[in-house]
Amino acid sequence: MRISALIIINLLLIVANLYLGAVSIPADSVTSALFGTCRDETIDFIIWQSRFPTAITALLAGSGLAASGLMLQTLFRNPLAGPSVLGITSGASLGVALVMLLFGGALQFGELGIGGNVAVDAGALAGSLGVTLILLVLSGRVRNNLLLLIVGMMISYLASSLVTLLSSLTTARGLKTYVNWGFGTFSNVATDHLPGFTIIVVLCLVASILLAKPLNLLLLGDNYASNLGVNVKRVRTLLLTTTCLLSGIITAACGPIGFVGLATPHIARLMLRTDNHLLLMPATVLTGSALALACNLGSMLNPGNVIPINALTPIAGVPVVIYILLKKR
Amino acid sequence: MKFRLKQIASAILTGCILFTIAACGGKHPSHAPAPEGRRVEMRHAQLLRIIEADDATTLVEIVNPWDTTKFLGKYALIERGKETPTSIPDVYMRINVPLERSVVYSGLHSSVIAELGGIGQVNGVCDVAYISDSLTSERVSNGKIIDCGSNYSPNLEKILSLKPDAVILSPYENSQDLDKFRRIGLTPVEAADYMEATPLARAEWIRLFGRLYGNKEGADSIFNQVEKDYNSLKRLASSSAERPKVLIDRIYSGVWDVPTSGSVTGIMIEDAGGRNPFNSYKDGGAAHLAPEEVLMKAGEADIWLVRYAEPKLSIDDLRKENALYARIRALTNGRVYGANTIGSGLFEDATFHPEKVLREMIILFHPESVNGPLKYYHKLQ
Repeated sequence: MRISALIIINLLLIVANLYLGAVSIPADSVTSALFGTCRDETIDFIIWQSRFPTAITALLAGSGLAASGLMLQTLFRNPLAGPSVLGITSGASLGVALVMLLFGGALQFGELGIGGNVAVDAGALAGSLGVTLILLVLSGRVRNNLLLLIVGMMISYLASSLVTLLSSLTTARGLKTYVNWGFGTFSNVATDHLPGFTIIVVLCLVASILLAKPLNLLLLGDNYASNLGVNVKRVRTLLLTTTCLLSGIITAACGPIGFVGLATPHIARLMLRTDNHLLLMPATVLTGSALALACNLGSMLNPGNVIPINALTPIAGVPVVIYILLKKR
Repeated sequence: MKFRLKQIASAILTGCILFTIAACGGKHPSHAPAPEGRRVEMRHAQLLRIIEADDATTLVEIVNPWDTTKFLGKYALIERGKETPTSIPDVYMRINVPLERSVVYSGLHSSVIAELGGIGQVNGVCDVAYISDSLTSERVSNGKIIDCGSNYSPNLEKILSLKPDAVILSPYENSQDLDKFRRIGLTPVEAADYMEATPLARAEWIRLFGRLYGNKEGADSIFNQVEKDYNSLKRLASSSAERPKVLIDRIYSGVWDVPTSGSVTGIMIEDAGGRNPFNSYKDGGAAHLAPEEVLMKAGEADIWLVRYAEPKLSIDDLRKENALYARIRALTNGRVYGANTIGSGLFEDATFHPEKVLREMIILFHPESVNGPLKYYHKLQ
């Protein structure tokens, strides 16, 4: 029932994202553009080349980050785990900082990539993959999940300190470029690149849903899960790989979007009052996408100034978390 | 009861009026009576005041751009070898001029100092990699000017070891560095030229550099010429009947920063006889717009000026970067011009020689009025 409500909320938000934006377009013009009968090429372009890809990117990015957050929280049995806490996002940020700050903003634009710049995308992916590889290697040696979490946090601090170091060495222009990237946006994925981005994120989301059952067993503890036939090491590797791919590709495309991965699993848990991942995973994914779509809508509300997504995710998410907490007490 | 409410309301109203009067009255820095002297007329700069106290002493007051009721700094420039006048209050930091040794943070400032013939008096600079002035670069490479690190976190020990008479820097809001500088005996001069609101106001700050580096007459005459050329170019552009719509720069991270009507770029577009499609935004500086809004307001732009930092940029790169660009009329009409901000000198000249940049904009907007070779922009292929 609640899942159906979440699906309806998502659909309504997608429609709102198509009909409302930085410029006001009459609803009938949007409808005609959606049905391919719009005569105004500019409106048609805005709906299909700008609002549509942005809405789909927000939907996928929110879903992916939420799924990553839930998987990491269960894997590490820690409610504070998430792509940003484990250093995966920081790794991506470090990769981007290396690209942007070392070249003083000279590489702020350039060749084509998911987010419009192949160097930046490569930096983000390499950074997040690098951190995940370290985590994977260590997860083979460190049996204790808490220790692994601490290692992740240490990597996160290390990456942040290197970003600070790079920031202190760069020029004003380089710093501005990096700060802009850090604001986060869902409008960087062009229509041409949307299919590729969609395929990767959807495949990872399918993998996350398939991993729901082993995640349920992992809740009982590694030993119980092993006794029940779960290959804990393999599941751990699969979980880390999926999370890394999701956070890496989303960070490359949208910048480091915070809060969604950490908070949405809690919102879903509080709403459903269950630890069953077969229900929790779809609910988390849908909550993440709804939050991202709502934030994208909110970012366009201030005429003359686009509000950064990262300024909005906590504003939109925290009241929901507090409301659910108070209501469920 | 009714009477009491009325009394309260009128008291509140009176309070508000008094507060408003007090607030409006504080637009200019409140200060003790300024020392006597001849005030040098600043025709454009709002943040710089120069008073000639006597033949050997010039007082400089720099207004705080973020709180114009205060000063960033007050300086007494005393001709080297002359007595310090006792009548000058202590609040004016003493600097012996011409400076013999100085550290300059910004490449823009070292360029203007070089133009005034004072580069020999500069011993340290910051952000060496981004200095485009050939005289400065040459002195850096032969070790006559020391690299003092990044503008944001300069190497203070290096600066101290150079024993500068003054450190010329671009101030930023609530900077804590300046107090630290003063404590360790350095004299920071906060050149807030970049916070001025108009191109000529920024350029007028050359008059301060002239007084610091011993070329007062040279600086005043350069500025007079800049002003004269700028105004006559502006008049020439205003006589053109056609006013092309001009779009600037491009999307980054989903946001297109465009010049508002009060911004220096916005003013220059209008002065060059162009139309800024974003004149409805009045705040000054840039408006951060969603690309769809830019497309609606400037899709019909006749001319598109793209300032870029990568080694090269072509129309093909733009088309690949975002499908929206192909919908801008200037691109289909072949009137897209690019300026590489590293090496073209555009940013350096925009501050102290806005007339050169304006001239080039007029060449692009009104080729029938002004003609000549392009220095900063080139047609993107």
